[in-house]
Amino acid sequence: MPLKMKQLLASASLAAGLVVLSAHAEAGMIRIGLGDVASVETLAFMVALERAKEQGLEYELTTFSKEELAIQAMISGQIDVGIGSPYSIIQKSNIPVRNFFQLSKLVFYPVVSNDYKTWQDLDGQPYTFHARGTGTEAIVDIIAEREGITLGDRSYVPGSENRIVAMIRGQVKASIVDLANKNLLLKQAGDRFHVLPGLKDAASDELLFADRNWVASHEDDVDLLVKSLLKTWREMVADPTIINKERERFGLLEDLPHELLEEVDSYYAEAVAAGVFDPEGGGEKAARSDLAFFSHAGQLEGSAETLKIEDFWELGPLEKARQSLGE
Amino acid sequence: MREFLTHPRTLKLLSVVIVFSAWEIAGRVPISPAFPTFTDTMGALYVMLTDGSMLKAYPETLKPLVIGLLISGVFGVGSGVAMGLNRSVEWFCAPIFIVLQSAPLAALIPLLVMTYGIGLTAKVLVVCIMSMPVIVLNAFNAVRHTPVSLTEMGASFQGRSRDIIMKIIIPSASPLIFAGLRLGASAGFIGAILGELLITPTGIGDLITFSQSKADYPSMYAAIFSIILIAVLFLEMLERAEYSLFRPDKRVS
Repeated sequence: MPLKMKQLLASASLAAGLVVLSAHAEAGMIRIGLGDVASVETLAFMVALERAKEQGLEYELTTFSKEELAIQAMISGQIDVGIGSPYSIIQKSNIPVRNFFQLSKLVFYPVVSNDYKTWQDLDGQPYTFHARGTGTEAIVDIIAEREGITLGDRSYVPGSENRIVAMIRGQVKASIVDLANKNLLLKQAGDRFHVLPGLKDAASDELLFADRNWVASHEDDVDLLVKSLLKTWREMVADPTIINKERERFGLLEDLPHELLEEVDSYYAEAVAAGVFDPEGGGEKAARSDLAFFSHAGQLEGSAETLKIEDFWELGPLEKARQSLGE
Repeated sequence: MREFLTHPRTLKLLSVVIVFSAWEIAGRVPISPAFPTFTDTMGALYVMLTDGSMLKAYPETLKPLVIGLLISGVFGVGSGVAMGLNRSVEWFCAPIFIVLQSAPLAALIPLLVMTYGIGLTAKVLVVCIMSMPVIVLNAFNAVRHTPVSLTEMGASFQGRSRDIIMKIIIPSASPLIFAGLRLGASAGFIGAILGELLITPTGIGDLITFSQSKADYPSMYAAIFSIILIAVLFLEMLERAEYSLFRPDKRVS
């Protein structure tokens, strides 16, 4: 046999072996797609995953640069569980995706330069959002309607951290950012910017979603996951320091710089106080207010009365977790 | 009949038909639920053209592209020719362009944003970084490889160095300079879209990301298809302009 042929055969058999191995490794493994890098903000979710692993859940976490890629990967069957806010996707496409746990709420802060004293001053002025058709835009649209103003040019800069950099550099005068970046902005340039009154009831920001057929056929895995999440969320709302204690116990994010890790406690204390986390994991009440919010903002077609919760949410797993953990 | 079947235009058309049919079949299988058929994509393209969203998006995308290509064309050919004529300029400039050509652009974008912000400047620079090295290095090689016999002939006919450059070196180098410009233009298109996808979503980049975010895949593919079509037409135009204006040797009578 010529040498080339031998090499070819050897590499083919190696590849075949790897395929068999990886298929074997994936059996019983649930694949979760995170539309963000692993950071302090995703830590609570990672803690809940590790706790579920202790109970016997096998999982594999993949991080994507964008939430949309997680949805695409789910459609193509490359991940099982995604994180994001897929309401309009569920409505517009015929993919049987359903939400089953609310990880966080849209607690965002309208930050503007001192040139604008009130919302009225923003009538006809340019405004910068995260991306077209997302929650940040919906929040400001609803506020603009409440205040009876019409915003001017809209531009989009993905990522709160990028928007505050642009604000500090003087390129953006009015935007909407998350809690951590609002604090950073006020710390670094509090003399030039301030926060305008926002919305009272926050809709969902990050939800856990999966194909409903997959949820039905992986009942045990989903139960383990949702129970662990609900337990962690309840404990975190009662005592935010639990997240950092668990981080140390599981050795999570150890390669992050020391000064970022020092902020874990204060971030979670503040986020809990601001109502970012629902100790009940969302469910029917959250679904109802989400439908009202997104239809009001024009991101869902139809009114809150005509939209059905069961078309967007799979409430079973959360109900089951509540019953087993006690109301 | 035989002539008609082997005519280049017929063959071109045939290859287009084959590709689009394969696309249609792949979409109908479907190879992935996120992969639309060719007809769905064309339907979405028609909708985007008629509702004005695409007509509004193109000026946004073309602004950094045109500015970037003009800068790259003028400076690229200029510095390429200067490098070819002068060793000191070559030593000074060549490393910069060789590094730029091999640098992964996506990794440089955060640096550009840090330095130049998120406006037009950063996007123009992305277009330039993509297109300039190709233009410069092609022009440089073309000038450097001018046949020595030609320049010697010019010198023996008492040509001044300006005449030798303008009447011998540049015309002899022009085929390769134009090839560099064409390659640079197509790289510039890639740069313009990359800038819109990675810096801030505007124009066609915004149509792509927005369609993707609401899982409207036919529109997403339609936006991508339109930019490819425009790039192909632009390159075709560039080639025709080159043949009719600057290349008497290639002129089709």
